[in-house]
Amino acid sequence: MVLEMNGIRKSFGSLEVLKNISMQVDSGEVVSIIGPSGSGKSTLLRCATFLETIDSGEIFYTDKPAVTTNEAGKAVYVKAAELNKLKQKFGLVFQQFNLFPHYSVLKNIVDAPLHVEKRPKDEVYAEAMELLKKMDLENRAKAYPCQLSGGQQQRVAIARALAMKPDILFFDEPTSALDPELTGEVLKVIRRLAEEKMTMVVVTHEMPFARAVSNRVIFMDQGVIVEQGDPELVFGAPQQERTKQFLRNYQQ
Amino acid sequence: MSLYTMLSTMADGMLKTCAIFFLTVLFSMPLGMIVMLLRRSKIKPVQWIVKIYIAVMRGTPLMLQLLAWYFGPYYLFGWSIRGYRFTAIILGFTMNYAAYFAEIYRGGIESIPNGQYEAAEVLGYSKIQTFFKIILPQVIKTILPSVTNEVITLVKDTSLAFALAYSEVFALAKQIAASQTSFTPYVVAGVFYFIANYVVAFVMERIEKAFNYYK
Repeated sequence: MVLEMNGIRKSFGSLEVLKNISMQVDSGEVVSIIGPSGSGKSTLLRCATFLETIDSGEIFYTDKPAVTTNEAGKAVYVKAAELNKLKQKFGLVFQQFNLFPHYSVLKNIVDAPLHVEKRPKDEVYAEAMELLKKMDLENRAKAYPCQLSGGQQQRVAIARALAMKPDILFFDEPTSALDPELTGEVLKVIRRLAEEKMTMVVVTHEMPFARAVSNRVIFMDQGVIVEQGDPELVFGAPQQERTKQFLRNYQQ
Repeated sequence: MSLYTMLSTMADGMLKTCAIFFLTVLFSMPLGMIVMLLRRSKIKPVQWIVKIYIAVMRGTPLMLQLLAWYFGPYYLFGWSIRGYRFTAIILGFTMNYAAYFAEIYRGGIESIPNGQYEAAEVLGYSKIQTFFKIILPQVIKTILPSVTNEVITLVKDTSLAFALAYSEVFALAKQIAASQTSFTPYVVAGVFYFIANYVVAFVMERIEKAFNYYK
């Protein structure tokens, strides 16, 4: 198991956005999370990547605890040093790309492996060029993010995350900030990663993509997992009324 | 008085003006950074104190502040202020400009989107790395135009030191103009300030250009 989340609860003030969510992701699995805005799917991803702290519940990466719950029912995070080690296990691709604008494409990719992981220079640069090739961007290595299209920027962001060699890669609505024309090139890259058995969790509104690429689909609404399973079943024969309604609205 | 003697007398004042300018820049820019950090402190009383400090520095005339820095110690504590003039001037200018720089820095820091911090955090950058490698270079680029403005204002504000009878270029110009009944010293002073600011603008433009490789 790459990721295990048990009984996650998270409130913003009096608003409970995650109500006892559990999710496991196996190695090589591609999980899509769908649902209406405000359903808590992005918050779930932000909790998994420690950008938000959970109120209670447990999080494990490759069976190593990151968060446990004490007797009082409060979440307890492991020590900062321990948590930083666990951070190396995942990567996150943002909706808004969040590339570093003052770094070239290549520097965006190599900087963290060089200065956070302190890996050898030759190796890091060679791998970065390899990644850029994979993203069809090898001729844009020297460009700056502002010179790239949104789709290109997002592919650089994916390369930047992959350069850290994560065990699992999270995508937070990776195509929502893109023109419809540009979503295809990003989805193609994610699809290729799925073929290579990269473990991924994708929060998305691209239903046909979720159906085609994922091994499992999770439908969330109002902070709970309403339904999950094989994409053909969730999309083809949803069991819950709420799921049917959501998919019906989506198709209109 | 020949133009040559006038210029050579005023040259000493120009040096003194430059001294005020450079020392103020040297002290107020880093101090502004500290003020900005305290202004953003999570400890409320610290925030309040800094807010009051900034309000006073921005809300009262710099000339009045200079007088307060110079004469304050005597009137408040009865201390001798002999030989203290230049220190009081640098203190006054530094404390005043640090407040302005702090607000410029704060604007710059707050303009950086949260996503930059989050991307750095997920990639494992430490807090210090995030600030110096990711945030600060972007902040410098955004605040450069405001800093240029502030530095140009400082060049002209140095003339306020005449209020403490410090013989910088403006005070000298006034003196000579009065004793020689001539307008020329003012013209010389004006040309001096203009050239100084031309140099400042030129240098800052160069620095801005160096940051132009990205948007």
